[in-house]
Parts: sequence; structure tokens; C-alpha cells
Amino acid sequence: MKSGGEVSEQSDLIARARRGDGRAFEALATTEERALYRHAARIVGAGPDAEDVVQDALLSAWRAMSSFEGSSFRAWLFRIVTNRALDRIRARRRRPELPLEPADDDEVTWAEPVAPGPELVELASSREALAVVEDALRGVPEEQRAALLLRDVEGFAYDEIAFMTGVEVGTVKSRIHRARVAVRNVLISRGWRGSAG
Amino acid sequence: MSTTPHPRAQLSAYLDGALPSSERAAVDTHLAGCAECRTRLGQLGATARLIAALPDPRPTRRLVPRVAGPPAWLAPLRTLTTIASGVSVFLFIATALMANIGQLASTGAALNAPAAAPAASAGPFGAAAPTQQFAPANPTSGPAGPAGAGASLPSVPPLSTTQRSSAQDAVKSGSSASPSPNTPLAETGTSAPQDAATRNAHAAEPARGTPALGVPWTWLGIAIISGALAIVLQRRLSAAAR
Repeated sequence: MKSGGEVSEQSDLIARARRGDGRAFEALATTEERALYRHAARIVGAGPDAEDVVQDALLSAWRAMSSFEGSSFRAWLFRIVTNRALDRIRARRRRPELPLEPADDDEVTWAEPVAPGPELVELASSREALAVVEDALRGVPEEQRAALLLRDVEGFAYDEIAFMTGVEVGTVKSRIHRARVAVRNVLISRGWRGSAG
Repeated sequence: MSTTPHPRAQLSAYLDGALPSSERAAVDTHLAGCAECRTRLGQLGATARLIAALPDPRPTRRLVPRVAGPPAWLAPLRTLTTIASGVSVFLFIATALMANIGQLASTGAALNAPAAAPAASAGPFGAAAPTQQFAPANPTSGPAGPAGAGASLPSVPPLSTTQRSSAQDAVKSGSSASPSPNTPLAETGTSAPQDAATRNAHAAEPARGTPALGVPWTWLGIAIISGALAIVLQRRLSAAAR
């Protein structure tokens, strides 16, 4: 949670950055630098590509700073980084984007437990469970993955994610759900039984 | 058992509090009677928590571009350090040359010393000796001048009449004021070694490594430091210009 002082300090920095104060922009961007990188890294993979994505995004954010009029500077930065990261993946694939979303969310497949495995609490505390989650995320289509990360890691609301990714709230809801079920399915297939907790 | 169809597609939005209140109430009602959906909801919640708990990858470099312009003092400071570097290089060369010339001069003078007059002998120790020898002679030769002149006058027979008359005039007109022929000799004799000693002392200074401009290595050090500073400032300036 941000205190009132931090919020007014941030809006002061935003106002200064909009007037062309580079130092104010650097201060604003630095507070989000690590979060932006982790987001980019989970979309395009950690490394120089993700670093380039964030650096390019911040540079274009600075150039467009005078036209920033939204309420959330953080959402604005994440929008630019998300779009750059998705562009990077598409360019890397060098093939046209395929529509990956089924018509109906009820058609999403839910995997069933295959064998008795450790309980959730045991798995959640282990490094192995997190490695499985990272692995599972890599298998999720990038638009869904981006939406899920914006929700679960960065804590954005559905309407904010819709604004950032340029789609309807219904699409955001569908993407998050599919991505989350996909990760859950991988965990289940690795013997995770989960629980009602 | 609940009779309504499983609201599986709504579970994530329900979990995230993104459902309209009417749909939310419907899911609540279903969950109350459906253990299977409660389990799935729990699994989704646990999955979301695992995703949130993922360790953060860290960038290997700074990703925030330098968009702030350089401070106003940076460009003048860059110019100043560049000039300071150049001046220091010049002073280094100058002092190094002076030290070497001083050494050469003293070495050359020392080699010539046996052949030269004692007054011309170089080096601080050689120069100090004649000064001490001649300095005490000065007061004695001063008062002795007029007396010596008066005494020596009769003992100069081969002088011509004109010379004699002028000499007599000199004695007549100013035995008190006009110097004797010996006095200038004595004076030049004493002052010349003094000058030589002073000159030698000055010449000896660079050879001892403490010239007026300082030690060459100090200037070289300052030149390197200010040069490096100028390069750093230049890079900072060009980075800001990008």
C-alpha cells in the first residue's frame, strides 16, 4: 500500500516528467524497473532480450511522456512493456499469430489427478513446485500468460489489464482463466493434488 | 448436491473478485453445495499464490535510460579538466627538461672546475667556500683602500707626468671620496664570486629535484588524473546526449 505522501510525491514527479524533467522520469522508472523486467522476462525469457524490451519501452515512454494523461503511470509502463514483449515474441517466431482462444471457456480441459502426490502445503513450500510453475507458464500462450502475470504477479484489475492489452474485459477474464487452469493442470500432472485451502 | 451446472469458467474471475454481484451470488450458491467446485477453486487459488511467489529474475544492467540532461556544470568542468591536463603535461615536460638541464650544467661545471678559477667552481659546496673566503676580506679591503692608495702613490715611479698629475689630482681632490685603484679591484674581486655563487646555487636547485615549478612526477600525476577525469566527464556528456 502506498501512503498519501508517496502518492502526492509520485504525482509531482509525473507532472515534472511531463514537463520534460528527465530526472523525474528516471526516478519514476527506477521504482518500476525490476517489476517491469520480471514481467518482460516471463514473457520473452530472462536475458538480454527482456532487458532490451524494458529499455526500449522506457525510452518510448519517455518520448511519449508529454502525452501521458492516464491515472496510473505504472499501468501505462506495463502496457508499453507488455506490448513490446509480445511484439518481440511474434517477431522471434516469424509467423503470423494464430487465434489460440477456443470459443467457449467451458471447453477448457481440466486435468484430473494421475497419482497420489504431496499435498499442496508441502509442494508450495518447495523450490521444486516453483520450478514446475515456471515451466508450466512457459507452455502457456503468451497473450494468456501476459494477462495472468499482470493479474497474479503485478496485481492489476481486469479492467486495467483490458486497457493495457487493448482487449475487452471478457477476453481478459477468459485469458486469465485459461492460463491459470493450464498451470494448475501441469501441477496436477506432476502429482500435485492441490486442496480446497 | 447442487442442481445448477458447474460454473467452472467463472471460478478464476470469482477468485479475483471480478464478477458482477449477481453472478457472484450464483457462484456462492453453487459452491455451498459442490465440493468438486470448491476443490477446483482452491487449486486455482493455490496456483495463483504459487505464481505470485515466483522468485524475481534480476536484470544484469541498468534498464532505465539516461534521459536527464547533464548538469549545467558538467560541460565547463570537462573543458577545465581538459585544459588542466594539457597544462600539467606541459609543466611535466618543462620541469623534467629543467631538471635534466640543471643536472647537465652542474655536471659540466664540475668537470671544468679544476681548470677554472676558484670563483667559477660550481655546486653548492664549491660555491659556498669562496663566498666565505671573500666576505671577511671585504671590510678590510674597504678601509685599506684609501690608505693603500696613498701609500702606493710614491712607489709608482714609471708613471708618466700626465698620469702622475692625474694621480696627484686624484689624491688631492678626493683621498676621502675617490676610490683608490685597488678598491675597485677588491670590490669586483669580491662581488664576482658572490654572483657566481648565487648563480651556482640557483643552477643547483633543479639538480636537487626541488625546482620552483615542482617535481616533474607531481605534474605527470596531475596530468593523468585530470586527463582521466576529462574522459569520464566526456563520456557522461555524450551518454546524456544520446
